Amino acid sequence: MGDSISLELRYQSLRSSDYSITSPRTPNYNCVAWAAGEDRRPWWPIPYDTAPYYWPLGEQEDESLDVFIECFQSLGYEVCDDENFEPGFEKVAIYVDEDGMPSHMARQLASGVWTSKCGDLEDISHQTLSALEGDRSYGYGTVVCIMKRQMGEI
Amino acid sequence: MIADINETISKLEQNFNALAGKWQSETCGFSSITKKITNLNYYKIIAMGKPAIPFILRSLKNQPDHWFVALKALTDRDPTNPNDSFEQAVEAWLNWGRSEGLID
Repeated sequence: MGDSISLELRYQSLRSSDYSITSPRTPNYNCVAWAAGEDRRPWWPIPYDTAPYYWPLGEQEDESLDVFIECFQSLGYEVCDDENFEPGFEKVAIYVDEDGMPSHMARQLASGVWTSKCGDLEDISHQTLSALEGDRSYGYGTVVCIMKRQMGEI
Repeated sequence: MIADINETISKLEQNFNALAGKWQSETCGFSSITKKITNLNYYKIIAMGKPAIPFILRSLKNQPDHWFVALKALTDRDPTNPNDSFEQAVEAWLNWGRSEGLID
């Protein structure tokens, strides 16, 4: 109950959304790592090597939407049209904040439900991507890009 | 004299704890490592200089968090390996701290 209240204070759209908490809080990984299916270290594009921070394409000077798209393209994803569940495909969603900078990623499960790691807070499963949308104070911004790859593709 | 030093250390630790608490509260919802390490409270902790190192290590031990950049900046060292997991990186820093006599 307390964890839900804490999450709903930070992400107000959750209050009117169908979601559930699916893990305890941990800083061990973040939303991008979770979207890529990893939970041992955070993923983020930074301009210097500092473990445990990881980016598949190495050090990055910027953290624009293009950098995130390129990263997930290297994992076999391609930009697609919508978030609708397609059997045989895995999808991820990229949120950007009011400055147009990536702020969050979610991954679609085989059930069609989305899963998100909320910073250092809990994982949640949520029916809609809008459950985590909202302005700077109350959400992760707006979903601007959906990518998909065939299941089983590495 | 020793009482003065202990009082100074105690005040530094109180200051650190206050800043660390604010930093964690303000940044725990971010996935962006950049936003975590450019938070003003994080900068203020780095600005405390080397006296902050034992406090950071104790905090890392009690409640692992994103202290790696601060530790690297303050110590000019990096005891981690490039492919370390979060937990391995924490353990690397704690082992370094123990080897330097900074934590138990």
